[in-house]
Amino acid sequence: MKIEIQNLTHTYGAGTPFVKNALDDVSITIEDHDFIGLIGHTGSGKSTLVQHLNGILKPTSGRILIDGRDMWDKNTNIREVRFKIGLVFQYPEHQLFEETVYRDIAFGPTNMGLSEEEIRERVLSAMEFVGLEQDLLDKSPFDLSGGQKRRVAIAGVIAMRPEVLVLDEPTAGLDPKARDDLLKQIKKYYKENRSTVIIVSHSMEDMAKTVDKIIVVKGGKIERFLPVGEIFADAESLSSMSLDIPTITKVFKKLKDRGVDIETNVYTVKYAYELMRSRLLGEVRQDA
Amino acid sequence: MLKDITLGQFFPGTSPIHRLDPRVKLLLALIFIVVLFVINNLVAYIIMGVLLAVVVKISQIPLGLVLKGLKPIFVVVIITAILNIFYNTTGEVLWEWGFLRVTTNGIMLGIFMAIRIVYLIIGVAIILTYTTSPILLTDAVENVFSPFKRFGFPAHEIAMMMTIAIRFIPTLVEETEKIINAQKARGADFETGSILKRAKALVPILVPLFVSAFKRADELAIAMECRCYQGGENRTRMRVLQTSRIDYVAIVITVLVCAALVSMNFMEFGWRA
Ligand SMILES: Nc1ncnc2c1ncn2[C@@H]1O[C@H](COP(=O)(O)OP(=O)(O)OP(=O)(O)O)[C@@H](O)[C@H]1O
Ligand SMILES: [Mg+2]
Repeated sequence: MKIEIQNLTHTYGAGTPFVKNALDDVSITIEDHDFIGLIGHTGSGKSTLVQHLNGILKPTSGRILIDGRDMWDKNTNIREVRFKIGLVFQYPEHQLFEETVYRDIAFGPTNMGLSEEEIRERVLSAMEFVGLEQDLLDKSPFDLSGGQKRRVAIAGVIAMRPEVLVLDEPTAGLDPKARDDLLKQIKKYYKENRSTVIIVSHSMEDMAKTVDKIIVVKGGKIERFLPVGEIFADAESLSSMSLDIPTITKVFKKLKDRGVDIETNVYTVKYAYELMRSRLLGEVRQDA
Repeated sequence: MLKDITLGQFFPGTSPIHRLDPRVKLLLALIFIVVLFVINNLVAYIIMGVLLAVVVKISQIPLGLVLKGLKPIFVVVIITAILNIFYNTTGEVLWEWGFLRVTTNGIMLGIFMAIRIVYLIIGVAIILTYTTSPILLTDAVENVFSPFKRFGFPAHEIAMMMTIAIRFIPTLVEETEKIINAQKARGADFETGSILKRAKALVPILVPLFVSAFKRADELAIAMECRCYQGGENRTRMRVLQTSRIDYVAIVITVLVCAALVSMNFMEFGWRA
């Protein structure tokens, strides 16, 4: 599913003393099967941007085309769009309401009008997907821990099997292990379902090891839209946007500055390890 | 859509009206309300309207906001006016049908009531609350009622509850909007179907809203306890309310104008009810 955003501007509070231009003339094309990280400082407009993707917010001006069709065209059923483009909100655990975990996850699929068996199958697989034990099925979602609630909420969107999955800061407030697990599961969802996935995040480090392309938003504008490999090339300008580059990238840049002849386009520890290993082995062999 | 509720909101500014002592504003609002219902002369109402317009102008509230604030009560004004037209049946009869009778005095009363409600909203709900921060307003309420503390009246507690309630209105509105959006993203449908179906569709909004409101209240109470918050006895304030020259000027002007308007009740001109 291809999403084209054309000259999108969004203004909050038009006509009051609190006007705020949250997005300013944004144009971007998200191709089918893209895996994108959306990064930006607090208040840069990330949430505002993703809420346009499934028609929660209506553009103040500009258009959004889904496979070439205008989302706000009279003939487009906006609910259908929402089933295809699933959005997990920031802190989604606040939206739980049902009596049991099962029924909460089933809310989306039920709204889609699926059959009872289909719903059951989807709920169970979504639970497995986010790593929730089956014995939580009949528990009240309000009795779960914060991390478990988050998983239930994410499962509620995944159970709709959207072609495009958008997650607004899914890892905020999770412990490091839960964060890594969740990112891994999202990556798996991306690979297995051939869907498009967009993750909003503050952390360059997390994004570097998860996604393929990165969009940097600043002050309601798109600053960069590049593959992960190229985004860290100008680390200085990223720091000036108060975005951090991964620690490992910093290490390699420092080494380079000190005169070590080394590649600086390193942004995961895994790759750094491979690189160092082959280098050290190579050097050892030369010495021998 | 929820954001359209502007009534009871504060719009920061630096106009002379913003700078008045909130206690004085409260007092003047009270005088204004009494006078509004005492005067019975169309000319007096017109003068009052002009003066209200002047005050709106001084307070730098955009005209659009005033109209937006009036919109929700439009229906109430119309209904009140119509009821009052039929209520007063003295004077020259203009139209009669069964027990319904429209008279000149009735029409006058209808017009007066409509004017009174509109002025009341402009004067109190718009000028007073738009130009006074809720904190100052509740401070003023506490201050005005504190003499009654001697008789066990919990002035401080009431002011505190008002402050908290007012403070959390925008938060709750924002929260409601967020929850509505999150359920919409899961395909919730609030707009179609029978009344029963629509009422049922509110459950996914109300449950999380109540859960979070109670949680918030709980957290706030704990946070206050942690900072050793305790009722009103011997508390000092960061901002002590003070009257200055501008307040005395405002009081004098208001009292003079009101006296003049009320005295028109006893004069032999204008249309009255
Ligand atoms: N409902 C709203 N009403 C008014 N202004 C808003 C609203 N939502 C967001 N804004 C403003 O729009 C701007 C962008 O907000 P947005 O939520 O998109 O930021 P963000 O990049 O998601 O930030 P964060 O990382 O903190 O989630 C901010 O300046 C914010 O104050
Ligand atoms: Mg956000």
